[in-house]
Amino acid sequence: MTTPSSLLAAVGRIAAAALGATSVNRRGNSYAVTLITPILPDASDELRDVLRGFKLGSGSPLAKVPDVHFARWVVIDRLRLDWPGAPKRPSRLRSQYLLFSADLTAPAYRAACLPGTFFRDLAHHIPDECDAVWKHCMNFPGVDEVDHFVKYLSHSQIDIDLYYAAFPDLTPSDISRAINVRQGFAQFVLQHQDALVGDRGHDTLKAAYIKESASWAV
Amino acid sequence: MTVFSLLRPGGSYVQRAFFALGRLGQATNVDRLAVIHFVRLAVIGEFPDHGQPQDYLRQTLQLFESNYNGSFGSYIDMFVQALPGRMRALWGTSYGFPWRLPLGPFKHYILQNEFPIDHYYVRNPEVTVKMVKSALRIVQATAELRQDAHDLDPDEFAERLRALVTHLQSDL
Repeated sequence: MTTPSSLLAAVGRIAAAALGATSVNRRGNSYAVTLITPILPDASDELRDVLRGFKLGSGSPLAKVPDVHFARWVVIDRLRLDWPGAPKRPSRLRSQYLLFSADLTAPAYRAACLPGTFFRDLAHHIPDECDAVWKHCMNFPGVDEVDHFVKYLSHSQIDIDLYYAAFPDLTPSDISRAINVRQGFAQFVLQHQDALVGDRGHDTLKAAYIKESASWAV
Repeated sequence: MTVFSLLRPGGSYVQRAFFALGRLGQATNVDRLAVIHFVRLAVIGEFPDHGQPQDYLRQTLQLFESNYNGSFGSYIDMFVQALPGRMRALWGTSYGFPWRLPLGPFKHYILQNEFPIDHYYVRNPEVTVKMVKSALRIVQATAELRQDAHDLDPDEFAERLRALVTHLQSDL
């Protein structure tokens, strides 16, 4: 049945499509993965222990998965409902939920394949960690049968309504390379400041720039 | 920041209209703040069905999630001061929102609706939005100079490089 809410959502999605955003979860070559899965009864504490036991930074399991800028796992265990004016019979969750979200950007030639390729990358690069996390959730089929795992994650995906990305076409590697160029250029200026401000050594300066600048983006 | 709030009756219609307008418009205000990498908003009427007991979702939920530079306090301060209208548009239809936006009650409201992250991954944790913007300007300018360098004599090259350093000083 068409409700005003679904109608407005449809209008928004059509408008977004008309502007070139082919999905509400997509902006440029970026994609917002938002998965919500119900946690098995009494399993949330153990799940939290698993998640908080993962190493942080470059040691995180998610560091092994391509295209990820940011990602998080969050246990949704209660909603704050007792605000002044809130209804006497407010919403109530009968399960606890696991939220997994990720901001991905892939190169243009495979951005359209997100999020399917990302789900397969999870199964390929960090199967044990995926199993350790989602085995605490209902109906989890395991990771061994990759198609079943991908179907499970796809079914857990919710569409978002608004997505902002500061650099929607820059992959994590693009950003790393750009930062390397910035650092390389700053170091070059420091190392060659005598030639830069003086009248001598310009031939050496030019040769050094041609040679060194080629390696900054690596 | 991961915030779930409970929408008032009709709030989902208002939010979806606001989000549709947001998609139509430019995100120039958020761009100008230059601290936010990614933001997502979702209006959620029900969670995916995996055979769990049916929830009593009598009101629609709103999920707000943001990846930003700096501390929670400075992020909220900046947002409220720079974009108060947007804050009201984002949470004004949720129960408990302090409409006058004094910072203390608003921070309390967000903290009450926020969920602690159990595992967080950031690919480039030291990199701010401003740094990326600066880096992109440097990438373009230094590549152009490298391309032109072969056709410049050493003195012309040094002059171009000096001008470039002056131009990009604030980006270094």
